[in-house]
Amino acid sequence: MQLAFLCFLPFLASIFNGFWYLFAKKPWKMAAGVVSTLALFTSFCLASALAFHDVTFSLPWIATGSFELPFVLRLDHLSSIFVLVITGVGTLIHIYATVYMAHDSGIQKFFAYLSLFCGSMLVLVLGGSLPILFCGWEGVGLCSYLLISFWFDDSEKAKAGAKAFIVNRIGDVGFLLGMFVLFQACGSLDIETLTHAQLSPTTVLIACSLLFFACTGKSAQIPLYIWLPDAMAGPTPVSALIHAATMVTSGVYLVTRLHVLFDAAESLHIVMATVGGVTAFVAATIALVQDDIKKVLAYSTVSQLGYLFLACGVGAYEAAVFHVVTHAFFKALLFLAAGSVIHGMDGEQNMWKMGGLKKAMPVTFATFTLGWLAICGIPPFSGFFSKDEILFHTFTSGHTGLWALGLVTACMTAFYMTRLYIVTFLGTKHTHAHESSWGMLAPLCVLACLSALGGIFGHMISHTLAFHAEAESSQLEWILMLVSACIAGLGIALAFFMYDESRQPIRARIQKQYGWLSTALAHAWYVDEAIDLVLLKPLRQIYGFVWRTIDVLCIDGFIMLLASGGRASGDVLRLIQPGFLHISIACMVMGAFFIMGYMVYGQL
Amino acid sequence: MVEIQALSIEQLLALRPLAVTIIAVLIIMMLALWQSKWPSLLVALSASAFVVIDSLSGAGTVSVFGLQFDVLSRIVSALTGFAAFVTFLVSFRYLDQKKEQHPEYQILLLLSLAGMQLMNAAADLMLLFIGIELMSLSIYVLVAFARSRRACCEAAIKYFLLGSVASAFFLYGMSFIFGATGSLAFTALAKANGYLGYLGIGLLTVGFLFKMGAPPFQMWVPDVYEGAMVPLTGFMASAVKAASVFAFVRVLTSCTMPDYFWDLIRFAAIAAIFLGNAVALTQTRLKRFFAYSSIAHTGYMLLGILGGSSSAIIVYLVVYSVASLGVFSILTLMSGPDDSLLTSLESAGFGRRHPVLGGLMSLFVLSLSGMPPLAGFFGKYQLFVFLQDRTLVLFAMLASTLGLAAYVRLLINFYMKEPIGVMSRVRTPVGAFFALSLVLGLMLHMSFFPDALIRLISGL
Amino acid sequence: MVESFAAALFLIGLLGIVLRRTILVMLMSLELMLNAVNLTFVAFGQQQGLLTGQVYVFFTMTIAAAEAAIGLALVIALFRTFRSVDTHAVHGMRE
Repeated sequence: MQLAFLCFLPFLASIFNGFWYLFAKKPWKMAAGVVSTLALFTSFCLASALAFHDVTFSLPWIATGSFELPFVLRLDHLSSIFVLVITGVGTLIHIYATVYMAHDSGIQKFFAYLSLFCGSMLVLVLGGSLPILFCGWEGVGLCSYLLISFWFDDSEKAKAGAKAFIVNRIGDVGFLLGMFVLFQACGSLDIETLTHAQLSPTTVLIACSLLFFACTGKSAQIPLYIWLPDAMAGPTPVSALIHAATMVTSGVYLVTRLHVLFDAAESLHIVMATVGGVTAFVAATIALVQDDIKKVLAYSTVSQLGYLFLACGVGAYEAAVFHVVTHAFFKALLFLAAGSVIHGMDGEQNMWKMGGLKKAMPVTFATFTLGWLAICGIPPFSGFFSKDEILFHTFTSGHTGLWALGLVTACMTAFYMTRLYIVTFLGTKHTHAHESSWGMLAPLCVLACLSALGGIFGHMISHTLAFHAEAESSQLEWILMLVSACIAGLGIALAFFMYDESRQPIRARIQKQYGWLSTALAHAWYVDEAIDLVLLKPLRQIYGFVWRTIDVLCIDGFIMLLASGGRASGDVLRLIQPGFLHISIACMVMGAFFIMGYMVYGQL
Repeated sequence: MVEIQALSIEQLLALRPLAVTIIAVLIIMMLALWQSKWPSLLVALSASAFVVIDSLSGAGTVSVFGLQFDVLSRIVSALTGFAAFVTFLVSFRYLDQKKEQHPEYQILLLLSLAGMQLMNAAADLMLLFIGIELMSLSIYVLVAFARSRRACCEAAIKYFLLGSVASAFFLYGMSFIFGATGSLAFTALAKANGYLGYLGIGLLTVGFLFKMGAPPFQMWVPDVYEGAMVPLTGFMASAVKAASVFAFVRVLTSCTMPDYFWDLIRFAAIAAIFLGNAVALTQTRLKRFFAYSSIAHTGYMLLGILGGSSSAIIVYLVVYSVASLGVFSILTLMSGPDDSLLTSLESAGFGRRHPVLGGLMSLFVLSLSGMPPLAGFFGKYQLFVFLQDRTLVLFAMLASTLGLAAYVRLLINFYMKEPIGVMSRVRTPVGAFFALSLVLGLMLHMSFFPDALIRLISGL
Repeated sequence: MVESFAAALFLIGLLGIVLRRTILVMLMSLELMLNAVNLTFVAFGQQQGLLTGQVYVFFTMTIAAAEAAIGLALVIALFRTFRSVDTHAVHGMRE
C-alpha cells in the first residue's frame, strides 16, 4: 500500500498544481514548488523506509477473457536503488527549481509537469509488467516534451521539444514491437514471468534487439541521440532532472531489469557494447569544441550514457547501475551549477563570455569543482570508481579495443570538462556576476558531497544486486585503476596547458591548421543536416503526395459521399411521412393488411 | 359451486403499487376542489416514488388472478414510475408558464402509470389490453392538454384515431387467439397454432408495432411528439415506449412463432433504424428530431427482440429511457413561454451560453448515440451480442453511425454556431434541477457500473 | 359462420374509417369495428362451449365506451380550434 502512495504522490501534486494553474492564478505561486517538493520528499522518505525489501502492490486492472493485466508495482533491490535516486536527487532538484523558476508566470504549470514526470518515472521503475513500464516510459517521454518546450513562445524551443518527443517515439516503436514478440512467445508480459520463461534464442534476440532500439531513443545512443543536445532549450532544472538524473537512465533500467533476457541474446552483446563505446567517443569529440555550457554538458551526458551501454554490453550490470547513481549525482550537480552560473550571468550561456567567476560565485565554484573532479574520474571521487568499474569489466571480458576507446574517451572527457572549468571560472575577466541565493546553493552542496563521497556506494550496489558472483580484487584491477587515473590526469593537464591565458597564440595556430575539424565537430559531425537531406526531404515529398491525393481526394471524398447519401436518403424518406390524417390511416390499414396477408401466406 | 380463493398476504402486497396509484388519483380528484396546485403535486410525486421503491424492493414471483409480478415486470414498473416522477417534477413549472396548470394533468398521468403497471404485470391478454387502453386513453387526453393550441389538438386526434384503429386490430387478434386456444392467458399463447392462431398473433403484432412506433406504423410518432407538450413527450418517449416494448416481449416469449414471422420483425427493425436515423439527419425542429431518433431506437429494440434475450432488452430500455428523460427535461427547460429555442436555428450556440445544460444535453445525446463509456454503449452492446445474424449486426452498427451523425449535428449546432440575436438565460427551477440530477445520477451510475443493472435483473 | 359475418362488419368499419372525411363518422366506424370484435368473441365462445367469450365482451364493451367518450371530447376540442371536423382540414403540422 505504501508502495502505491510512493508512486502516486507526485501525481497528486501534479493534479493539484495543474488545477491551481488553470483556475486560480493567485499570488504566492512559489508554493507550487513547495507542494511538488514536499510530495517528492515524502515519496523519498517512503522509499527509504521500504528500500531493499521486496514489496509488491497489485490492483486488478484489465481482465477480459483469457488476457489479464493487473496493475502491478514491484519494489526489489534494483528498483529500490533507482527509486532512491529519483526521489532523492529529484527532491534536491525540486528545491533548486522552486527558487530558479520563482519569477516565471507559469510556475504552477512547470511544477505540475515536473511532478507528472517524477510520477511517470516512478511508474516506469516500479512497474511489474512491461505494459506498466511502458506507461511510465511514455509518460516520461510526454513530460520531457512538455518541459523542454516549456517556453514555447520561442519556436526554436518548441521545435526542440517536438524533436525530443518524435525521436523518442521512433524508439518506442521498437519497444512495442519487442513487447509483441515477447507476448507472442511467452503469453504474458509480467516481468517475473518473463525472466523465468524458456524462450528460443531467436525470439530473445529479436525481442532484445527491438528493446535495445527503444533504449537508444530514450537514453540517447547512436542513432537516436540527436534530441538530447537540442533539449537544452528547456529550463536548467529540467535538463538536470530529465537529462542527467532520470529519464535517460530508463534505457539502462530496462536492460538491467530484463538482464536475464539480455544475457541470453548472445549476438546483441557486442552490438550494444560497440554502440555504447562509439557513442561515448563521438559525443566526447563533439563536446571538445562546444561554446555553450549546457551543450557541453549535454554531449557529456550522451558520452556517459555510452559508457553505461558499454557496461551492459559486456555484462557488467552492477557497474552500469553504479555509474547511473554516480552520474546522477555529479551530472545533476554540474547542470544545477551551470544553471546557477547562467542565472548569475543574467542568461548568458556562452562560456567565452564568462571567466573569473571563481571570485564572484564562490559556492558555485566550489561545488562545480567537486563535480568536475568527479566526472573527470579523479580518485577518490565517485566518478572515478564507477567509470573504472566499467573499464575494468570491459578489459577483463576481452574487449580490449573498446577498452582503449573508453580510455581515450575518458581522456577527452577530462579535457573538455577542464576546458569548461578553466574558461568559466578561472581567469580574471568578470566580477560583476552575482552569487545565487541559498535556495539554489543548498542542493548544490548536498550533491557535491554525494559526488565526492559516492564511491562508497559501489560495493553496496554490487552486493545487493548480486547478478554475478563478485570477483576478487586483483592486481590487474589496481593496475587498471592507475591507468585510468593517469589518463584522466593527462587530460586535465593538457587542458590546463591549452587554455591557460598565455597560450592563446598556440590555440590560434591549431585552429588554423585543423579548422575544418573544429567546424565539423562544432556542427556535431553534420548529423542533423545529413538526416534532413537524406531522410526528411524525401519524406516531406511523400507526405505531401499522400495528403493531397489520398487523404483529401479519396478518404475525404468518400466520407462526403456517404454523408450526402445519408442526407439524401433522409430527405427522400421524410416525404413518405403523411401529414394528412386520412393518408396516415390508409397507410396504416394497408400495413395491417400486409401483415395479415403475410401471416396467412406463410402458413400456406 | 364456484370456489372463492382468498388472497394471500403476499399477493395483496404485490398489488400495492397499483392500489396506491389509484388511490392517489382519487385523492387528487378530491383535492381538485380546492384549486391548489402544491398538494396534488405532492401526492402525485409520492405515489410515483412509492411505485419505484416498492417495485424495486419486491422479490420472487407472485401471481394474482391474471397478473404475474416477476423480476422483469418489477423493473419496468420501477422505470415507468421513475419516468412519471421526473415528468411531474419537470412539468410543474412548465405548466405554470403555459398557464395550463390543472390537477387533471397529475390525475391523467397517474392513470397512465396505473395502466402501465397493469401492462407490465399482465399474464392474460385481456388484462394486458385493459392496461394498454388505460395507458393510451390517458395519454390521448394528455396530448391534447393545451387545448387552445392547434398543434396539440391535431396531434391528439391523429394519435387517437390511429391508436384506436390499432387497438381494434389488437382486439380482433385477441379474439382469434381465443378462437384458436380457448383462453387468453399467456400460457395458452403457446398453443396458438394454425391459421387462426398465427393470424391472431399477427394482428397483435400490428397493435404492438403501432404502440412502439415501429414501421410500418410509425407515422404518428413525429406529429404526436411534436404536438404534445415537451415534458409529456419525454414521458411518452420513455415510459410508454418501455411499457409497450416490454408487453410485446412478454407476449412473444410466451408463444412460439414460425420463422417467417421473425422475417417480419427483421424488416420492421431495419426499416425503423434506417428511417429513423436518416430522417433525423434532416430535421430542424428539435422535438421532431428526437421523435425520429426514438423510431430508430425502437428499431434497435426490435433487434433485441430478434436476439431473444429479455434481460438485454430491459437493460436497453432502462438506458434509453433515462437518456430520453434527460433530453426532454432539458428541452422543457429550453422552451420558454413561447416554445422558443426548440428549433435548431434558435438553439444555435446554446451550449456556449449555458455550459452546464449544454454539457448535460451532450451527455444524454451521446448516450443515446451509443458512445462509450456512457451507458448507451453498454445497452447497444448487450443487444448486439445476442443477435445471431452477423450481417444484421453490421447493418445496425452502420446505421447507428448515421444516427451518430444526426446527434453530432445537434451538438455542432449547440456548440459551434453563433447564437442568433440575444439568447435569454434559461432558468432552472428547483424541481427540474432535482429531476435532472436524479436522471444524471442514474445515467452516470449505469455508465460506471453497467453490470449493476444486470445483477439487479438476475437478483431481484 | 357468425365469425365471417363479424369479419364483414369489421371490414365495413375499416372502410368507413379509411374512406370517410368526417371525424364523427370515423368514430362511428370505430365503434362498428369494436362491436364486430365483440361478436367474434361471442361466436368463438359459443363454438368452443365456453362462457368466457361473453365475459370478455363485458370488458371490451366498457373500454369501447370509454374510448368513445374520449374520442368525442377530443373532437370537441378539435372543433374549438380548427372550426371543422374534416380530416382534410387537420394538417397544421408539416414535415
